[in-house]
Amino acid sequence: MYFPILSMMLSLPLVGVFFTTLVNKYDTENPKILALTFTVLNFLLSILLWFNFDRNNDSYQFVEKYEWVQSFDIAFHLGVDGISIFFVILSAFLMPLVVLYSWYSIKKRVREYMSILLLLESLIIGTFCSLDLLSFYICFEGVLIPMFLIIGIWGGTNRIYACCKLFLFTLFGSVFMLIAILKIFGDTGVFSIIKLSNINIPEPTQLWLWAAFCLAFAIKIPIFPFHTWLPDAHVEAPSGGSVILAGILLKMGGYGYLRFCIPMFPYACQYFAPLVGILSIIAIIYASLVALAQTDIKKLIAYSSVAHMGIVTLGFMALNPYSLTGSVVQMLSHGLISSALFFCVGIIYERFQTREIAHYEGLISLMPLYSSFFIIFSFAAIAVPSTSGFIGEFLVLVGVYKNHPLYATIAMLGCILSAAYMLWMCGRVFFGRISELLGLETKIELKLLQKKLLLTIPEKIILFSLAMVIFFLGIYPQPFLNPIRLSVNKLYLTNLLNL
Amino acid sequence: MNILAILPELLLAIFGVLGILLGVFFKNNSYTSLMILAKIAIIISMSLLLLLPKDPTIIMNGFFINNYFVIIVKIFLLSGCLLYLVISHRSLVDNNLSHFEYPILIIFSLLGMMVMVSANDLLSLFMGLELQNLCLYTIVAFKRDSPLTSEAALKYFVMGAVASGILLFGISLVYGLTGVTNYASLAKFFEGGSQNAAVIIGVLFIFVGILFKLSLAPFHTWTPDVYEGAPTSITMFIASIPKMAALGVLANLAFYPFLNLINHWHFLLVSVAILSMVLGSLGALRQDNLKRLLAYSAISNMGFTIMGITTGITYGLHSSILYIFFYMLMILGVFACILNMSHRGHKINFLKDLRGIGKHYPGTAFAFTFIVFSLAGIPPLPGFFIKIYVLQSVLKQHAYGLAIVAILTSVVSAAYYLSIVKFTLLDKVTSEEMENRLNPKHSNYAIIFSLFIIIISLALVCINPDSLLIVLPN
Repeated sequence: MYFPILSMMLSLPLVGVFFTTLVNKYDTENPKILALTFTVLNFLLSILLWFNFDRNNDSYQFVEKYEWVQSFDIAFHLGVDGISIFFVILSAFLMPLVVLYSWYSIKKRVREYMSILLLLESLIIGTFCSLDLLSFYICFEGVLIPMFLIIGIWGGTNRIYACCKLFLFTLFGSVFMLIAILKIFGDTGVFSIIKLSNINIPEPTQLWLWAAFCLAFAIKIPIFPFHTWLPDAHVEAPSGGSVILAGILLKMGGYGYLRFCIPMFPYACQYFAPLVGILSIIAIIYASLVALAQTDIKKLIAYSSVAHMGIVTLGFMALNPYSLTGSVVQMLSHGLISSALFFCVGIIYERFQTREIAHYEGLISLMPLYSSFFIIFSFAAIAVPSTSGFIGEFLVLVGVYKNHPLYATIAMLGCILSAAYMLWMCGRVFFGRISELLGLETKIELKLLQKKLLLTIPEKIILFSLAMVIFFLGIYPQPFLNPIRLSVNKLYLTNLLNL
Repeated sequence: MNILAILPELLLAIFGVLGILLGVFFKNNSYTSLMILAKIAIIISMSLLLLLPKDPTIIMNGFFINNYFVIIVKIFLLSGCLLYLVISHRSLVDNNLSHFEYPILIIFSLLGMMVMVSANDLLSLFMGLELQNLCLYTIVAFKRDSPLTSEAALKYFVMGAVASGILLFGISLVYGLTGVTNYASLAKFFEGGSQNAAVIIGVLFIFVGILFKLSLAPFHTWTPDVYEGAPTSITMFIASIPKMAALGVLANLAFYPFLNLINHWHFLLVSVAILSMVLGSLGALRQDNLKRLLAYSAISNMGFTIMGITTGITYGLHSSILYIFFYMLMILGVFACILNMSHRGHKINFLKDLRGIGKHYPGTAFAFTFIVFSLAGIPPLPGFFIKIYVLQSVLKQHAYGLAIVAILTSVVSAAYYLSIVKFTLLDKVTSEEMENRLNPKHSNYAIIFSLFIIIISLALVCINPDSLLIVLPN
């Protein structure tokens, strides 16, 4: 039965936007219910997508092509393969969680917030499904406006600076990618990646085009020198916005590299591999060291995001099936782990209105369930085995060690630092005596305070489901690894083997 | 046969004259009726253009040409002008500027523009240009008792006169050295290119005369002052319609008589484009007057548009004309939002007056943000698609430096568009109370109408721009 499931997943949130904007301006309940309905429907569609996905097939599935401009043969091309299906499912999974989280935390202009979230979901799924350069670019850059609005309207005290920086910095990279896309179209006459992966672009041109594409992706991922927008954006964003930013938007850069740079510019990828490798290692070590020095929990997790994405780009350096599979898995697991960590930070920020580590101590006595979740997610961030973080990191390091043992060794040393800042933060925040900020003397007050600080149902659902998926991915990753491995092998065999 | 081709212009001329008579004899209430008559005249003119046979005709002894390209440009002009009249009707009443001369001057200006675009001869070009210019100078000075407006009008007049003088000098040089002013004869004359420096200087002077109208650097210095000084509804006019006409004329000149001289005027247009984009984007960063900011953004956008003409291929011409058409619509939309705000009691002169609009007037704020982001060129809004069309044509000719300057200045421009959106949406609550006057449907209707038009244009872009394929007059 043919069912245009991808375009349905794309258009369902847009229908949701339409209905959400019709709601009364002062209504706070209906937009949330509408948004939750549409995001959960989209998630169910993604489950349907997963079940109908042929796991032994390494080509694009559910391909849909809509002719756009006849005379230049530009079409709107959708399709998933082993790599992109998990990003689609991840986005569809995270969005209802974001809506759930914002249930109690967004109090003003709820209608606009929910419609922006739904629009964002549509654009994100468009980015991960699109098989042609132009629609990828439109969705890739189209997420800028919703993120600008989310950070600018519902963000923290310094939000204007953060959202303008995010917007202009990302726009700067993207326009170079636009020039490269238009040049490719001018030279070859196609936008579709399926045709482009079979066309050989001459090598000097490849280098320039790679540089243009990679500037855009480097700012998005973010790779070391271009990461400066990330801490500001994360600190000032509302927690739901941080989750989307860290969990999904960062992955667009990595996914774009895998989907577009490697098939189109294999020579350039190999030519610049040492550069990518060195920048990744700097990212891992430098970002971890900076995270070690942070006093704001959210900024610490933001820098840990930079470090984890450094591992992803390290995988892009080695260009063998192990490391590329590892990059994809690391992206997926980082999506889950950072989202979980940002949710956690948002929960305590809701309650105590501060994110400073110095203000917290002994939280484990006050919020035991929450603390156990946070510590579990910290372990996942450190890449402890049996969590998904381990699978990703291990595969990347194995792959990199195969070709460049020195890089792998240095990166591994960098990974130790992630344990340092995470465990130190957990130790300071959770253990020890209850701090003066929470100021209580007797045991009875303790019980009262515990009751007041209980996790609400939406928060429990979010944390529990994220923890479940992280452990499932960590203990039994096979169902996820197979399709990824197949598609990555196909990528490797068609493009990288004959270099 | 002879008359049919020029019927739309004749109609406008008849309306203009009749309008003067009506206005003089029925002085008191003639503004509204003349505005309605003007709109009707434009609609009839447009339908005549669409219905009459569109085969290329040259009439009036070679002075007037009518082919696909010219008809398309004229239709764009007329539709833009119609939208403009609808939007500005009420705001002139609000500002006590509802004199009957206004629609007549607009119609005469439009007539001048149409004659200019259909010109097949350098002299009729000059004729149309002067008619348009004189009406424009008068319209800019419409607010007689304001010194700011008078200063702006005087600046416009003096600099415009100099530009017309340069144009005429160029025409006389070309005539003196070639002996003809007809486009067809000029095209034949320059068939194998030319090495005569004097003639080339003449051609360059002709271009300069037109570039002034397009507010391109370094002939842009009138733009910020005139935009700021003129009353807002009249700024809306000079920001949109004459630019379209001037680009139509420039395209005609560049691709018809002087196409084979492309090696000589290519450098002029490229340097003007780069200078405009850079000066326009940098100049706007420090502005706090909204109209001056829009003036610098116009300079930048015109630089972007002219890039398409520099390519010298049909693709580039097509993309330029489409770009300026959409730009015209977007500028009409921006000013429509501003006029709506001032109609509802909230005058917007400075950027900081934009505060609180997102909260109190959400509909207008949404339209405003949509159009401003579209001007910045962010996908998936319509402004993005026309930008990539122009960039595409530039890259086809391998002008990578030009493309990179274009995108870099795009990013810089995004900064000030973003600041406009920031003031509108990202609230810094204003303490003064905003009076909400009675809001008759008319103002809102104009906004909704223009936004509707812009969304329809998005659909057009999405479906198939083949329907707008322009055939060159060659």
